[in-house]
Amino acid sequence: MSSTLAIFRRELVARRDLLLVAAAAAVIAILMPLLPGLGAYDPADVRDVSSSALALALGWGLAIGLGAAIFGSDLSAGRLGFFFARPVKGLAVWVGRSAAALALVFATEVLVVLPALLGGGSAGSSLGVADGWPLAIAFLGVPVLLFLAAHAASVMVRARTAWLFLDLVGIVVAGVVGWVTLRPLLWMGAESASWVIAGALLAALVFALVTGGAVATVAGRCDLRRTHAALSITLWSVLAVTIGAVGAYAGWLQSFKPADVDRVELLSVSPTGEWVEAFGSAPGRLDVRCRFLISTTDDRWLALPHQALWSWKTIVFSIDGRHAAWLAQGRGEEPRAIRYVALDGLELETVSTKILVPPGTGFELSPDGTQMAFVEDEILSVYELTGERLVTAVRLPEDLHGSTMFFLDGDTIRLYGRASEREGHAIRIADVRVPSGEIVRTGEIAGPPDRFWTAFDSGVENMVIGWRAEGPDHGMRNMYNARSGEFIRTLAGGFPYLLSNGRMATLREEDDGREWLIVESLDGAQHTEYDLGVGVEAKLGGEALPGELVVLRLADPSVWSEGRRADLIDLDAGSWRPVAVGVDRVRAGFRWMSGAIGTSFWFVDQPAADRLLTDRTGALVRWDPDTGDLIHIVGGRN
Amino acid sequence: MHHVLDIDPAAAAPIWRQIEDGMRRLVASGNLAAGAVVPSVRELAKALRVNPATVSKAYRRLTDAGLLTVRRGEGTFVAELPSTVLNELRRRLLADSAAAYVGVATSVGADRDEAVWAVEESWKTGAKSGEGAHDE
Amino acid sequence: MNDRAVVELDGLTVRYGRLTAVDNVSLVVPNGLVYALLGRNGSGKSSTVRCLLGQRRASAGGARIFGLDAWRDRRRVMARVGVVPENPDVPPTTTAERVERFMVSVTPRWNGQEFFSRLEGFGVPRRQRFDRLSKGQQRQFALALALSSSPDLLILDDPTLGLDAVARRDLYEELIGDLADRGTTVFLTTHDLAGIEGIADRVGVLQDGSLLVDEPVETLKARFCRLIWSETPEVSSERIDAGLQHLDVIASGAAGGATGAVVGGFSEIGFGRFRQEAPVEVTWIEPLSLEEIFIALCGDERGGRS
Repeated sequence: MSSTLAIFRRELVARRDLLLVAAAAAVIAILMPLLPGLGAYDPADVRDVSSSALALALGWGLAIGLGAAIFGSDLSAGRLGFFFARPVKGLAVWVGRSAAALALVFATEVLVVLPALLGGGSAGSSLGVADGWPLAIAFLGVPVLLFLAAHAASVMVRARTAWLFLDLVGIVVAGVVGWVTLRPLLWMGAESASWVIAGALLAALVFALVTGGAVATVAGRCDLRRTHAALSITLWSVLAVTIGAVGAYAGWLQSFKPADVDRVELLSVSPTGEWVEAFGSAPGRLDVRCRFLISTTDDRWLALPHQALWSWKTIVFSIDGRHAAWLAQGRGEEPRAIRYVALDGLELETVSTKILVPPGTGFELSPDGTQMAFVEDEILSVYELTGERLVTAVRLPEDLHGSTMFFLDGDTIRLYGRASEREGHAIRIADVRVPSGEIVRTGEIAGPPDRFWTAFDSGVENMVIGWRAEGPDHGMRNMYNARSGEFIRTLAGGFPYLLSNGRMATLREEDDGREWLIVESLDGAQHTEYDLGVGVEAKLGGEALPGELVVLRLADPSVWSEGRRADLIDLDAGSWRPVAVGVDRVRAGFRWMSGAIGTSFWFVDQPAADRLLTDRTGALVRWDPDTGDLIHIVGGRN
Repeated sequence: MHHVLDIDPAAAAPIWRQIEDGMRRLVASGNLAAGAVVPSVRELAKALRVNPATVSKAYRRLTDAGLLTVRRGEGTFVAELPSTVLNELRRRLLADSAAAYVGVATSVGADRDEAVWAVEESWKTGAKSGEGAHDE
Repeated sequence: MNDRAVVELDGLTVRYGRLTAVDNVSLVVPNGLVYALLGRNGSGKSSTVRCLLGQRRASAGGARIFGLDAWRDRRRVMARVGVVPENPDVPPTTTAERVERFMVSVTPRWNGQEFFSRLEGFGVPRRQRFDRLSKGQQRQFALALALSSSPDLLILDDPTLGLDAVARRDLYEELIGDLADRGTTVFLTTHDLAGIEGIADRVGVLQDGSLLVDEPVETLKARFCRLIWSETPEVSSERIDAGLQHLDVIASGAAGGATGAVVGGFSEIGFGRFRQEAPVEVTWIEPLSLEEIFIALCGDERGGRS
């Protein structure tokens, strides 16, 4: 028998009385349902829960106790001399004793849980924990970590040499580095990557503790002070290397280029369609998503800062598509600085400004991208970007506080606010002149519902309000004049796509599954219907060519996996022509805004943007109407 | 047997010499007759609480001097000594003791007559107990 | 390096921070010898033993057993060494039976029968927990453990500490028995100077980390003695002091009309020279026990007048 095995056996036999405690606990767990006050519960459940809880409590407690005893107190009491006076390797002593301690811990857990398991229970479900990984971690992983940590801690505390300073510093630094490594992944909502990195950090810790403990015993032998020195040196140097490796890996996970991306999630498109903002995931990077600004016409790109998942906002493009701006990262309640980039140049250079926007507040760019504006409660501020100069700050009246706001043109900002309850929550419409700051009220919409969405056409001439209320009014859609608020008419049919040339398109599905495309003029005078087929799950793209609307339908309704086909319908002639097969829509063609009147979106004439599609492989592609090719932009590896 | 050997680890003489001299005295006085078995090295060392090597050394010297014989498998015994050797042993012991006595006497400043008188007085009392010892 | 040396300390130095516990100690224990290392508490004995047991690394110099480095080759060394530590470190809840099972798998040359019969001789039950044995029984247990693997070297660290007279006797008897049977080399430290006086072949005395003395017990006892003489007015104390220099005086003083001195370098020639310088009447030349020699060497005053 090898000496490691002999030591393992000896230690196990010497401590086998602990298993009696485990047996007693198992008995207690079995008898638990008999306790007064627990009669109301299902006895099997009570047994399951109490045996699992006792098993964990006993196992974890034993892990800590044994960890502290067999190398801390035994060492300082001189009891290790017995082993070192025998012809056994120092490593055999450490491995044998540690393995025996852990075997006891696991045996204890099994013993306590056994009666309940035999009775048909499940250790995991009784704790509200899924069987599998979390169970293994609780019953196996945690005790190992507790044992090793108690082992190290007891040596450090008992020896009390100067190395304790290094230990304290090491603990703090390791904790900080670990948190700094993990936080961005948690922040960006990369769940799987977070688990992997957290697991890797713990594995690094366990590895360092194992190495440290073993080296400490082999090098320190019976001398407590030398053991501590060896432990500290080994533990922190190994941990530095391993955590460094994990940190490097975590960093690698988060640094990739558009060329590496396979899965693309489009966030926003510039009005000219020349640039897209998108999340990209890359193979081998788990579920980490990086945010990019990617050119659809050449291979220029810019990495955008990671944002916390819960405070995330898209990029703002100027209407001429030549500027993009966003908010820098910030912490908590700090205001964020504006950063922008000119999209024309060969090299994209981010410019940081000192213009600060409160967190959670959106901003808008002027059509030529030279100015930006935002509303914070009662103040509307307009800045000039390049000079970082405040152009005007306007104090808004109460019904315009927190308005939904955007630039109509370079000199005018349109505001939509909400009046008080007393005034029926009417939507108040006003224009603000820049730079004078003069407020001009243009109208109001009376009697809107409490919750609704708004849609504007590209010229901001018409707006649609859709009811989001409980009750019979839910789903009602009304069209109003976007400037005066005058009611125009109620719309029938589905969600309205406000197209150019005063046209509107909606989809309608009948009871038999047949789907129709309805194109009508905004005043309702012209009305054309197109039969799209049965069960085709039609979706509308945008006006990829002026006057021509993209319609996406399932190629073969009976074979869903075939994907969709895109066709272009000429809204004047009523003729169809094919675009591509095996493609899908991307969300382009409108922008989101938020403010006093809730979530609104604004349809912008952006034919170039409307020619963006995703192909079968999930890549973002651009349809070239001249050649009919789908030109690859980003993503789509298999 | 051992207390008659009277070993004092603190005494001036090395222990092996004390053992050796003690044995010689016992043989010379007849307390250890010829052919009598002598304790093994192990037994004597344990009893005296001394290093067996020391006892070994004494026994070796005594064996070399012909006082002891080793019979393989049986033990160590007092050798059959011819009476001349025994007498020589006795004579040597007496001479050594006498020399020591004379040294003591002169150091206290006694003269020859005083010294002889003391011996005669001691003889009267000692002879009686000496006879008793001889009968053991 | 001596081929026959079982234990060899070569300039052994042990430092704890700024404190030097063992200072450049060199000694050799040849095969078959019983070596006793003596010293007051804190003299560096424990540190020396720990280096020999491979439990502590020397700051400088080396400790070798069977020619192997005690630290690096501890495992090979311990296969041939039996250890009885100062505080018995057998796991408290273990029994003789369980220890025996452990030793079988771990120690070459282990003889379980011998172990049990030794224990039986001392009335130590096989199934009794170690911490429930008496102190004397625990020491015997440890000694039996050490002896039952037929070691080539026995290292005993203060084996009789805290034992009563009977237990002490039993321990020494056990040790002597083994010496008689196998002639094992022994390296021991002790405070029981009277007890090992007859057993030790060679003795070393540590004081403040340095080796004061390293010689056979016989020669040590030969050169140490106490002289007692009666004072005469003709001989001045200066002449006496000068004479005593020939004998390497340790301490001198008066006691009830007579005057005496403890000397460490007694020889016939030296004594003759002393008599020439100071013709006093020496009434007594008294041998010293090992204990008295030790006290003379390591007591608080050396060479002073009491």
